[in-house]
Amino acid sequence: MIRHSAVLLLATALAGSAFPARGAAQTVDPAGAASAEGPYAALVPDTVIFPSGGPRIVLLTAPGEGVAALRLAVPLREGPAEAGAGWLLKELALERMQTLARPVGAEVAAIRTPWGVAYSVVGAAADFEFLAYLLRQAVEAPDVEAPAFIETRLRLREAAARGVETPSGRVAAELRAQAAPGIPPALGSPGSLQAMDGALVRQVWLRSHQASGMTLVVSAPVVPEVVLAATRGMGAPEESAMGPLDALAPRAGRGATATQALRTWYGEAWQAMPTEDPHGPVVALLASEALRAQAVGFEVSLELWELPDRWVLAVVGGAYGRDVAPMRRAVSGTLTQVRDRLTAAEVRRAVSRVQGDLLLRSRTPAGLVSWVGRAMEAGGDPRAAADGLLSLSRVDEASTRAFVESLLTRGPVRAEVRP
Amino acid sequence: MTRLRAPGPTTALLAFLVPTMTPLILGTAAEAQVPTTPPSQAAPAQPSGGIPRGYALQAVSPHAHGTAVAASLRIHAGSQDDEPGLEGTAWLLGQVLQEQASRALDPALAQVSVEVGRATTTVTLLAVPHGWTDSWAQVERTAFQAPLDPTLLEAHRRTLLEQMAFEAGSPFRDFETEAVGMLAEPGSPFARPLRGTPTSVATIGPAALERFRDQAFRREAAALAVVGPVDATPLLPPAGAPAPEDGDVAWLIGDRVSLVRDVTNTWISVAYPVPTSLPRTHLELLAHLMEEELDPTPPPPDRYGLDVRIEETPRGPVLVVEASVFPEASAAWEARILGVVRRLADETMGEDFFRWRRRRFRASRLLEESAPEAEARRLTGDLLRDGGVRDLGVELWSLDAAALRRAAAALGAPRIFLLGPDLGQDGSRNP
Repeated sequence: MIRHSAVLLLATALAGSAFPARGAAQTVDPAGAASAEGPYAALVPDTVIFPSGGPRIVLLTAPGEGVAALRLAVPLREGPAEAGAGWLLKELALERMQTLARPVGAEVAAIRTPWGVAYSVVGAAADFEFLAYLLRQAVEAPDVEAPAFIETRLRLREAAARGVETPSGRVAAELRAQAAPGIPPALGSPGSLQAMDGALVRQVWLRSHQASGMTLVVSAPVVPEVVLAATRGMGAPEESAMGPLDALAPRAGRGATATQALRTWYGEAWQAMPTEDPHGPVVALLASEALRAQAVGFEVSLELWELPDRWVLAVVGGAYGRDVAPMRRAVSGTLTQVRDRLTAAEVRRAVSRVQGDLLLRSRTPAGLVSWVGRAMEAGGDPRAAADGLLSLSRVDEASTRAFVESLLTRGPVRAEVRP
Repeated sequence: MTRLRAPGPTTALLAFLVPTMTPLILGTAAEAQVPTTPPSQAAPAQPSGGIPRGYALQAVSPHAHGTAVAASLRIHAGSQDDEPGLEGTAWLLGQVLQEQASRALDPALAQVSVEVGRATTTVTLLAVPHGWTDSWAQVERTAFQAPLDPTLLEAHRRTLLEQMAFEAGSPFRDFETEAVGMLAEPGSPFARPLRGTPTSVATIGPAALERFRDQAFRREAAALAVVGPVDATPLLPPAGAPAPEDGDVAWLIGDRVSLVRDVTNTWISVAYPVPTSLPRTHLELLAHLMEEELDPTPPPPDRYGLDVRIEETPRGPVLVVEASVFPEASAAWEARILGVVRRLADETMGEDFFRWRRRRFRASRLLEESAPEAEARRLTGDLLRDGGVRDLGVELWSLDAAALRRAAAALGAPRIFLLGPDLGQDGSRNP
């Protein structure tokens, strides 16, 4: 049995120098965009505005009528002692948003991304101001005195514990720790969450939820002035920003516990930088297909982890007794299999599949702002979604082979849990 | 959530590629009643650009900034058109067409779903913009011309028979069969089992499928809608005014039937006939508000499930409320359902309160149609039912409290069906 799991996200290289100065508005010529991006012109923003004090506003032409979708990205980094604080913040915000959204029939979401937290709302365009109000509520200070805080933290601790209590989760956690030692897990660890109190979460909120760092992506039939008016003054007060992240000392947490296993679990992970490299999802797709052909008698899963500065391809398998050796061979041979089976047609098919998937996911206003907003998070380029699709078009057999070879040369990190 | 008829399979797409992604769900379609005489006798307008032509009714809704094109084809044939003894033909044909068309398409570029209802069948394509016309041409070839693959028929027949064997004796299937039987005249083909019976399914051969397709899949009796970034001018023909005879209703006399089964919950169906002249958007608002009233958040603890939907019967639309409840609460639930309709018909909602309710309905309706495939399916439903399409933007804003009250008051005498355990004199289950 194979579980395929990957986050197919692409972004283009940083283009900060192309940004207009704060307080100015940059209008992207839609005709020019269309000629440059061809079929991906819908992913190119019409207007980018830098109001003084933020948030940065990116306007997309709505694909249909009557619906407005907004996505607010908040950059957030955590120190080791803060691991899980961002997740906690988005859970608390989601509860607030849901309560308020229900009466008007709006849909809300909050997710933790490799770069921060993103809050989304979608509803009738006629309710635009209320939708913006929902986002303002999302980035308000968390109520760390409320019972919801304790309950949410407990749920999060349980989820983090589940991740290391199971052998497959334990292998994945060890792979991640080796592949990205300086980046705490977004979900937190049992130790960090045990020690996390309201004051710490509020500190993280004060430091991260500054409007000047936020980016709002909007797909709605509204003029920029309406968006500006609706978003002014959101987030934490600017003067309250805390000191640097590294000043916060890690706190001691509960050590690792033993994991009961009936099968042998083994995993390998390969990493590549940067996350903007379009080969990542293509190779992940090809690798999942290669694994599927071999996974007989054992279980194996493949995941593409996106981290702030790299992506990691992790393969974890579990097997009983005599199937352990074939399982280990399959896991270790994943990339070799990809390389040996590589053909121009296979690469074209995989590229086409990734592109098609991204286009279909963007077919609603909510999907559109989600994809454009997420693609922007890595480097801040408003055209990252369209450029990402274009860069996929340049992926071919030779470039994919070179990419796989570079991963093989660098070698994997390994982890194992035995019965 | 109000469901506008869900006879067909819900298709999860792309799930195998990336399970962590939000799966693309090709939702369910509004089953359409086809007017025997189209409201407009004028020659149908033909679309521009690369839009396929030759269909009796067509609509095109270009979205210049969309990233996917949806094309939906709806024909006026479903399980009610199965030959006697070959019930399940339409269902199996739908399954075979969906798989055969999917195999013919490049999965990176396009996906197709087929939904079979009692009166209609809908084929929907969702494709990336470049090359969508090639994908649609492939779907058309499969739907209208390509020889049907007999091995696919065998595979789907086997799956269906296994499902039926698993469901044999299911009280819910009994409830479903009896409840739908109350929506049409005795012996009406409308009430035939949507998927057939084990006996009928076992006898369906490739010839039966081909015969059904030859008779049902005809462009000159079908509706096609295309939505998305297409190079064409909008083609959204307005629906004609309802004819005087459209005041017909599915039935005039209500009924109440209950069946006793030794089961652990009670199923209730309350079906109201709706005059065909009632504007569809008013009816959808009514269904939405009824569901809100009956199924608030958090849900009542004595209900297991609740569904409000619009069914198209041969004699006109019917508003159906189905609930699965704790047996001791069944009488209270029946009264609650009837009470909600009575209250909406008797009391005019305060204007401010109504605006809040309309706001929720509007958001729900617009969000539902923000997916191009959902809009395309709604357009074909409108075309087959009314001969034209609704301007939802205008219609949603024009709704007022008086229209809601009129819609509730227009409902006819309900037909009620209950299936559940025997309750003693004191309203509790016998030991």
